[in-house]
Amino acid sequence: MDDNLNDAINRRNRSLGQVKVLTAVAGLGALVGTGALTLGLVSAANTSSANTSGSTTTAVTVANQGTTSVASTTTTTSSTAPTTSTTTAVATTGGS
Amino acid sequence: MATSALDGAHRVESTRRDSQHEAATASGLATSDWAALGTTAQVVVTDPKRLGSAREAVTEVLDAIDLAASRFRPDSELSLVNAAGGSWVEVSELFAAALRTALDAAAWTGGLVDPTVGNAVIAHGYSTTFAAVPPVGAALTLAPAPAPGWRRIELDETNRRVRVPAGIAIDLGATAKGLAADLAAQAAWAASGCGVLVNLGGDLAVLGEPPVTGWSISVTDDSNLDLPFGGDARQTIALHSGALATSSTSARRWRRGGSIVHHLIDPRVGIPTAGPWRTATVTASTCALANAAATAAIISGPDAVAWLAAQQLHARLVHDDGTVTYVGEWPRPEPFGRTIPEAEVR
Repeated sequence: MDDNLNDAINRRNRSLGQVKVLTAVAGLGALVGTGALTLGLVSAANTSSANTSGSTTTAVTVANQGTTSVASTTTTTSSTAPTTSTTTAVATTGGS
Repeated sequence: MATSALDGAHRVESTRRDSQHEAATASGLATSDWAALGTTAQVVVTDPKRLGSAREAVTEVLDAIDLAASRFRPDSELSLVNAAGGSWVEVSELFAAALRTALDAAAWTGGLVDPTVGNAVIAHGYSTTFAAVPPVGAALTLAPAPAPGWRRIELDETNRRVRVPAGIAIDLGATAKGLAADLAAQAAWAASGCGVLVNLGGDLAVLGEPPVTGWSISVTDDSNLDLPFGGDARQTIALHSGALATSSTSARRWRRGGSIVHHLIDPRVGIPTAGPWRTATVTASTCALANAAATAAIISGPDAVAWLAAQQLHARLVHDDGTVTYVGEWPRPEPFGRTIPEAEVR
């Protein structure tokens, strides 16, 4: 590993403290810190105040070659279907 | 797509990036938008008094994501991991989470969404921020090859470190923005205590009590232009919970020689996907999922409808010729004020 990369990693490591502060301020520290911030965990949090009727459960199994961990996560994929709107749009989705 | 339209895309995007905008909407909501993550970030709240705190929370999350996962910052963790020459690199919790999301998405989509397309994206000309990518250039000389494959990425979550084999570059573009929308929506909701919508260039998540009629959203081909081209490709829908994401070959396009090139690389062959869909919009429980599913739908081509239906997702696909296909319970248009009685999977 060359000196430039070492320097960059050192700078990055110093910045990690800032990242942790940011995520803690944002209320994300608990989520990130568990190491369980996967598609599934966000799913559970994101639908906590929502009507999830019609949702389905899909097993997501991740087995990376050579990794030290194998994660198996149950993920609720679908959300309540959208409906037709008759009011003025407040946001736009599209390619970006 | 004509060259002039490409030029227009750059011009409109540039104009949007220079602006910051806060406004009250006719429905009593309050909205703020600004440039972030190479696109436009927007937060909408149901309590206008909470707009400032919500925006501050979103900004903090986006700054953290940018530092972790930007492909265009030499000091980002992603850049350091890609440059490590096959060595283990200690990473932050946030980067580990972003990579875990990308690997989960790769597994879930059977490799259609693969973070190891980084070198293919760069080889096709998307080597810097999109605003700096020349819209027109000389023909590319390429030797397309399948992406190295997401299984070659090692994520040691116990020791929070990552190893990317030398010569492989990872790109979290298909999942990081969706994850950012999820995290930002959670942060904004925690900070404001009211209903929030976070929109990152068309990848959006909602949380908290929605407006009575839901979050009204215009679905288009290109969230920067806000204009459909070819066919009746615009629809307004109401989202009540979860998330929504759109992937499109109509955005982030450029011309090299006589060919149009875009950013959605098919990892099976290492070149931009060829259709038949130009835009896919998907709702899901999280924006990370919706983002991955929308990209997988575009890349899977003719198999998109069956794959989305198998996941029981609700989606809207725009064909290259402008015709629209609806999947699951995505609302059908009601051109004569009649409700189309039954959801239909085509």
